[in-house]
Amino acid sequence: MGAVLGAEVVFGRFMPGGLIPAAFAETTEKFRIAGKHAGLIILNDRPVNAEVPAHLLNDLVTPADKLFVRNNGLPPENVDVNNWTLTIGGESVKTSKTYTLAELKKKFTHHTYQLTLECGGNGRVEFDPPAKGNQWGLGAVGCAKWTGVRLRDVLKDCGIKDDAVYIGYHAADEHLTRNPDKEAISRGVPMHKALEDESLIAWSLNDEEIPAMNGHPLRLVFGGWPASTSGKWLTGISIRNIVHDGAKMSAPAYRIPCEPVAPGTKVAAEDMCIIESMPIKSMVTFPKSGVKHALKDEFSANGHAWVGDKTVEKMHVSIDFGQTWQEVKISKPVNRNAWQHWQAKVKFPQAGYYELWAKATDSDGVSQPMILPGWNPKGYLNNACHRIAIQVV
Amino acid sequence: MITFKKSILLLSLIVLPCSYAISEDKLDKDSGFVVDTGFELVKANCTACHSAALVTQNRMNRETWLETIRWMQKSQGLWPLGESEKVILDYLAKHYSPTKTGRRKNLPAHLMPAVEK
Repeated sequence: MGAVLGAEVVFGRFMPGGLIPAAFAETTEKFRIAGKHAGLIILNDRPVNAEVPAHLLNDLVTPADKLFVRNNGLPPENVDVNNWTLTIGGESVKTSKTYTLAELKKKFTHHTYQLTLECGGNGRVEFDPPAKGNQWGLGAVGCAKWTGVRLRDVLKDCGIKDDAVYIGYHAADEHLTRNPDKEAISRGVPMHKALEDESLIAWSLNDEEIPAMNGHPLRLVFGGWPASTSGKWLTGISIRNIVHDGAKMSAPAYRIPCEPVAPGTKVAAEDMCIIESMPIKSMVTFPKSGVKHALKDEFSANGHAWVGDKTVEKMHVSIDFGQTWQEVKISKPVNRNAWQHWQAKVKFPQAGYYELWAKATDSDGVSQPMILPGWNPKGYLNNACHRIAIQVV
Repeated sequence: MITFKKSILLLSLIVLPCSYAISEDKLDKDSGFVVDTGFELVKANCTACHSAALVTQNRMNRETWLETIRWMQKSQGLWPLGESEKVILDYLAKHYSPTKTGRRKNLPAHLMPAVEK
């Protein structure tokens, strides 16, 4: 389709209807994503991608209007909740079944968890040489309260064959070219992650319907793993007897070199490994960077820390670019895969320019690097310490 | 004129607050592309399928821009660019090439304390 057409002919056809006013679709004018906070930073309007500035992520539980948006394709329009179905299939399902949303809600026990979702490319903007794609700063992360049924319960209702190794999701968003033969994205997780307590098929975020751009009416949610595994606008799940081979599952998408490489290295597809649990990370969500502070007063800062399938054990801050570190308080997670909260109080020795650096350490003793971590071709997993600027007067 | 320049600067801050130094280049007000030879071709061919911001926020050398074009032709339905290809590559390599940054940049201007003079 469109292989030999000139740009002028196809231009209009590809305009997304409904979502973005046509007049804004190709402009640098700031537009609002319906239901989202005006402070979100729009990286891209087609597909829609938007991150949240650090100071807007200060809530303990991320509100719906402040949860980032990472779309690969065009979200479904005119979602019909009453006729939405989920089909479980694949080589390793014993009995393929289709459930309506009402059936899912009625047949299985409901569970609620706070789950941290972070884009695998969060922090990409810092890579050098640069990695292509959305140049995420650090706000493609959030931890909201999700309610749904356990993926495990639904899979077991259909029966899982002994040879099952992976699940893959299928969704209602369209490929950017609107080619119905192409899926925009179709990723998944190994069975051990699929079968965990916190792995949900969710219809609710913070006790309300999931926002349109975050997957309404149904999505998978896997806390602590690249958010690309948490398929939005969910219509199907395949239980696979191979590692799922859907769109954006093969190298280099959501993979990093299996062995560390020097910046700029070309890495063969077979030497790229799938990203699973996300690394230890933290951010300063209060105050906003650039604040002015009186020397005589104690300075208060706070934020969140999180790590894939482990827990955050320690939190430190530095005001001298990492020469010395002060341990600060970190809360326990409310449940597995939820982010944790830290609070710091600092006295400055003299007036001047400072940066407050935050560094979390996980339950295996692994902490965040102060500079960009190992380079990788697609710019994933930048967990370098976040820092804010402070003018002490 | 001053007001116009200010609004361009402001827009680039809003769209790409974490990226690159603010340039004095004149930007196309619809797409945000640097106005220079070939920008209309880039606008016509690239923004048919995706946002202009997906180009302007990226930095690649000529070889990688070409690889990206080939990938889009192979898997994303991009048509052959013919004679326009060289003009497009010249433009992208001139205005959207990598700049040396080191292992960690300073904080961007919008996150720094206000300077009093």
